Amino acid sequence: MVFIKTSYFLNKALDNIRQNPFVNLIAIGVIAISFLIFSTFLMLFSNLNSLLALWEEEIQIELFLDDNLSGEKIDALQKKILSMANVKEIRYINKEEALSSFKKSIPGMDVLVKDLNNNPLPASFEIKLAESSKSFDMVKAAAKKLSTIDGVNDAVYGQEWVERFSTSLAIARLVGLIIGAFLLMATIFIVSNTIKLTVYTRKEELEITRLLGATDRFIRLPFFIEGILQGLAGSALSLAGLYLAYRIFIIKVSSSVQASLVTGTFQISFLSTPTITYVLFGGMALGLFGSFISLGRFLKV
Amino acid sequence: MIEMYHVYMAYQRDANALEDINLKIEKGSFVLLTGPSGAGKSTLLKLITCQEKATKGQILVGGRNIVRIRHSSIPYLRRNTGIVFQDFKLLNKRTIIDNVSLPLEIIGKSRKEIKHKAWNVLKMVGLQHKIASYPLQLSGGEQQRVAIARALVNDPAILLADEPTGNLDKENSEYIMELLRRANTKGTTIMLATHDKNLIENYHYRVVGLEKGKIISNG
Ligand SMILES: Nc1ncnc2c1ncn2[C@@H]1O[C@H](COP(=O)(O)OP(=O)(O)OP(=O)(O)O)[C@@H](O)[C@H]1O
Ligand SMILES: [Mg+2]
Repeated sequence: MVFIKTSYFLNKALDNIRQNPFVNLIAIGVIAISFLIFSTFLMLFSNLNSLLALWEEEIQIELFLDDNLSGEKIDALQKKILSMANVKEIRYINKEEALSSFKKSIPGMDVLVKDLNNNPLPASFEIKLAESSKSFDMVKAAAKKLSTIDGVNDAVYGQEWVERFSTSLAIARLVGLIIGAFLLMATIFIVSNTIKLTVYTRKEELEITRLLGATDRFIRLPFFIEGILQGLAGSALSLAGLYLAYRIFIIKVSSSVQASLVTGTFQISFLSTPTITYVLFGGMALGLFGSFISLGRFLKV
Repeated sequence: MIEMYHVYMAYQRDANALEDINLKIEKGSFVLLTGPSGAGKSTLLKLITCQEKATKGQILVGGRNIVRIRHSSIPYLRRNTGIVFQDFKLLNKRTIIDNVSLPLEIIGKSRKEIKHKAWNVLKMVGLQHKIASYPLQLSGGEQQRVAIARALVNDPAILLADEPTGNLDKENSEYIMELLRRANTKGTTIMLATHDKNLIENYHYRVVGLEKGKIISNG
């Protein structure tokens, strides 16, 4: 019984769409375009976020030590730092190691450095912080604290610019949110007006139906379904478009992009399955809401 | 079945379409509501299905006071009342069978039952060969019969027919009246609004006369 009714209302909704194909196509198109913009933002943010997470993962503090510290002093320092609450790992790099890795990092440099009769590079500690202490603020604070330890010359946490990147990301997120909100309102406006149009083309029929004893629910349900279908079609279309763009554009240039972005194993990824589901449900919710407000003032026979 | 006590109705301020209407329609009766054009016949029928609201007075339908009925209860009142509209109000984009099926769809009957009942009632009004036609492909008399079929498909307790024989020739009128008579003998209470003098003379039903919104005869 319930199933029969559902299919009945679904058929009515499809009738509505068939009777106003142009208007419905416009609504679906508008939803698709705004959701395309929206999900492009989503994809951008999710990728930047995972990039950031990757960087956070790799972040470490380098402590450059004063020259001429005794072995015992260095041991003591290492113990002391390791005992600090948020320090997970510490590795000592002596002057020779520092020089040889410096030589390795810049090919051709060894020729130049070979003749140095004393090693200018300081010994250092490489410190990794505990997972819970890896936010930029905490890294910054830890570096500051570590730099005041006696025998420590300087504390550097490699990617200081990542911090700036992180703030710009927060700003971009805000801007995205504002744009998203505007898009949302515009889309709801368009959807509600399309539904209103289908309502008007059926006004007489609805009034007659009402006089024959139809409830509000009976009359509204097809329009709600119409809105939901519009939302679903629009958001699905936007995802398909985004995926196509992702395959064609991003995969093609990804090798160069990747190389320039990070040295690591970062892969630009498409929206995750949960996000895709959210986008589709978001589309349906939006369509439903659009039809809801368009029917609000209607139906008072 | 239908009771009215001191009912007033005005579309505009100080212009009563109905004035101090007192009326009692027994269950199973057949009543003709007559009067010249503009007397308030259609308005009176519209009050019974809450298409219009009385400005004053009490109206009981099936023992229930409908003057302060909740908006959400109106559909259930209408399901019990078949209406034949003065202007038919058929859905011109839908076939005859779809038109007649609509009241059954509204109350959520199964597809099988809808088909069965709609076909039976169309057969009763002699239109079983027209089920796939559209209203505008039918003559006026045939459209009127479709309207009656739609009003009766639900087996309603009350049938309100507004000028069901208007603009029809004698033969068609008689056919319509016969259909209504049959529905009445099956127990449906019928109120028929008309200004057709022949109807009043030829059928010996109770006649309620309206003029300028007032009841002038009630017999
Ligand atoms: N929607 C409306 N708005 C304003 N006035 C109306 C409306 N409907 C009817 N009237 C007025 O109410 C009065 C009664 O109208 P009603 O339609 O009930 O008459 P009637 O007896 O059915 O006439 P007819 O035989 O021509 O159908 C008339 O004066 C008419 O002008
Ligand atoms: Mg009338």
